[in-house]
Amino acid sequence: MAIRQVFPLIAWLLAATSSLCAQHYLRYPYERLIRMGDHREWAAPGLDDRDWDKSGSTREAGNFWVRFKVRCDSITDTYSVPGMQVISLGSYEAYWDGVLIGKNGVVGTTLKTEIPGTFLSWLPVPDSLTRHGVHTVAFRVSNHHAPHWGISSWNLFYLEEYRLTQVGDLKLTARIFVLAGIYLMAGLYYLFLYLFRKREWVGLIFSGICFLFFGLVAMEYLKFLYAYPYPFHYTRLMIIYGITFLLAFLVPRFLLLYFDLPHKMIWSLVSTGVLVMISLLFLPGTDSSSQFLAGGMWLISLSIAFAAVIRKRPESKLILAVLIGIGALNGLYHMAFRSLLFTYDITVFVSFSILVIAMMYLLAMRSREQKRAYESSLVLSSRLQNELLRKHIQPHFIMNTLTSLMEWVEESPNDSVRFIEALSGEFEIFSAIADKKLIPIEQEIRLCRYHLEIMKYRKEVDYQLEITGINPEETIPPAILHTLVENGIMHSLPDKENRIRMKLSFRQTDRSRCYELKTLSLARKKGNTADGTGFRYIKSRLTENYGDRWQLDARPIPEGWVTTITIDNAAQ
Amino acid sequence: MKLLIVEDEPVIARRIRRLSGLILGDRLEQVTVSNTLESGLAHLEKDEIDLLLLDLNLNGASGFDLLETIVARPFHTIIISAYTDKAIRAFEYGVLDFVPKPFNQDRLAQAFGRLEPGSAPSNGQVRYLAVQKRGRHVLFDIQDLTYIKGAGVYSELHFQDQSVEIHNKSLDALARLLPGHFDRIHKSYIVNSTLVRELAVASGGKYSAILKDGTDLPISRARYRELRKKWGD
Repeated sequence: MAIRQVFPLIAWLLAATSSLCAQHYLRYPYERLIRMGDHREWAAPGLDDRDWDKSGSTREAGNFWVRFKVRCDSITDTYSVPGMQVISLGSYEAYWDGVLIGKNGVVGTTLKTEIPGTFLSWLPVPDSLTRHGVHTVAFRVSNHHAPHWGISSWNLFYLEEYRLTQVGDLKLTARIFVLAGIYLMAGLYYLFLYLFRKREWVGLIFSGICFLFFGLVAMEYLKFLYAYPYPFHYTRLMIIYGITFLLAFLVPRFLLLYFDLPHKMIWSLVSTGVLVMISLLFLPGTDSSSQFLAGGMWLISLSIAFAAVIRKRPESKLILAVLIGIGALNGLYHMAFRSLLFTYDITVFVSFSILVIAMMYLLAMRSREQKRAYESSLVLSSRLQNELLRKHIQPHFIMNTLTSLMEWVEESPNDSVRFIEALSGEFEIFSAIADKKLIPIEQEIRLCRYHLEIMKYRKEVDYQLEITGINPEETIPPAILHTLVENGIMHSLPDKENRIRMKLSFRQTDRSRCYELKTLSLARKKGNTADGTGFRYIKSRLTENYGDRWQLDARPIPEGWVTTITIDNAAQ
Repeated sequence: MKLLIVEDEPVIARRIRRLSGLILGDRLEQVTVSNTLESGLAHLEKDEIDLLLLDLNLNGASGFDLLETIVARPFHTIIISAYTDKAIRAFEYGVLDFVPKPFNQDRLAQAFGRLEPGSAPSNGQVRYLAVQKRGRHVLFDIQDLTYIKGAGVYSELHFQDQSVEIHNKSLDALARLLPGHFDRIHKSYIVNSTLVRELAVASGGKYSAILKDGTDLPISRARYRELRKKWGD
């Protein structure tokens, strides 16, 4: 059902990105010549620039010129106002066939004299300059504000209807931000869930992933909303790179924790190693470095999903299919779009959205599982409560006790009063503890003592309970020691002095605490096994409170029988 | 009368012994108390008894396994138990009475009363009769019984498939256990009345019941009138 609800969202997402395919006619002169230095005559269309650098970008900071050839023909005639969208990592002056048509910032020869222009800028081109034929566009650029860590500066433009792409970009950005808002909300929701409901790492990681993804989208599309000065472009790229790195770290981490695979340490080391290696191989802050990080994340996630499928983890096949689907989609997009500004954005955006939706589905599944587990634990608790009460009103105990009591009343009224007191004492404690999961050990011991008193009147055996080392602060599930005492009574024969002695001791270590009940007597032929009804009750109670962090051991010793309950401290 | 009390709770055993003494008075010849089934059975091997007073749950061991072997014996058994839900099953095995705990003197006296000749029979819920056959105990469904013939301290169980088994209880003892459609027609015969085809009177005032399979059983003169009334001619 979750899949079906998710489909329209994916369809909308694809529609949002595919609007980019609607091509309007624009000229994109990719070939450009670059030369360091600053000479006004380099604006001239007839300049002999055959010895200029064809790479189109420079890693140096300073002054340089970039020259383009652009053709005007019937296509450019369709523009009512021809214009240029310039993307420039430097302040510039633009010359069309040697005529200055616009400026961005102030070109200077030093850091001080240059005033940075914006990364994106728009210039109208006068009609008089766009006659049919090939024209020369030259930019006089200074990039003194570019960082000096080897990242390149460049400068290029589209020839198009004046400011038309700007309108298209804003429309797309508006749509993308609606979706980004969804991730912001999801991030907040899971953060609150983590803070106020269940402290689960996967939930918190997912919240982090949503926030980071929101941040990634916001940073990516900031360029269309905010005409920032070009030096900020490098900062922005580094932020995007940082976010991508964190996402590439967190997404596999999420899957690892969700599928609860063994060797988490090895997985973490290997995946971190891969990401660090990518960071070292590719210069941080470039589009390709972020792309490779995303690719690395995809590969690691795919391996984790594959390992999860092998280990037959629930939903692992779905995640594997989603990841393979994302891989296929990326390949497809890569072929379909070659637009410089968008390749990374679109693949990352679409892929991440699908992945985030799949993760949300996983969390929903887990939440359902937890709800079920919680409900069945409620059932277990009420069943145990029921069992505890039944234990006390079961006919064997109550009817035999009452029959014995009748005899005491008729034969020895004074003793029968003490008998009744013990019985009411036991009843009182039972009704007080019936709905508790844990009770003070001291209350449990009083329960045992009342029970032995009752049994003394019934069996006419001198039951003795010695207690050592008990810490009255401790708590214990109700009627556990009581059950052990009951078993001791049932399976023991009194000694020559008509006694059955029991020793309850308590030991505490760094790792665990341990209750031991020794019954010092002859055992009946039928030894007590660890599988009887009483033991089943004890085991259920221990599981209810401590999960699997306990042991129950019962074995014969020369002087009788010993039962040990060990509870790990970590289970508290 | 010789009593065996099998009860693991000493106070309750003492109570049964004391109340039995009060109820039976001089008629009580001997009382033995066993606190385990094993010692109880050992006593049965040595001594004859008239009545067994049995607790069904002894230190967690179920008395039903042994009930089968015990009800095949000549003596009657009264169950004294806390588990009233087991009463129906106990009756099905042919116990004389089921006394639920806790009990007083009156209730125990009522159970003992069922032993008296001419007293109301047990509630007739017996479904099986246990027969000792070559050391084993076999349960027979009383629905398959045609009639029972007394043979001194034993009884012969005649079944519809013509087979005959010997039961260790006397005809009198069985008469107390069997349900209402088993009628005493003669000092030595109990018949399953649902299988009677007709009553016949032979010359010389000899009365008999003719069964569906043609068996001819004598009816004592004293009972003839009563039976005619009951069976509706």
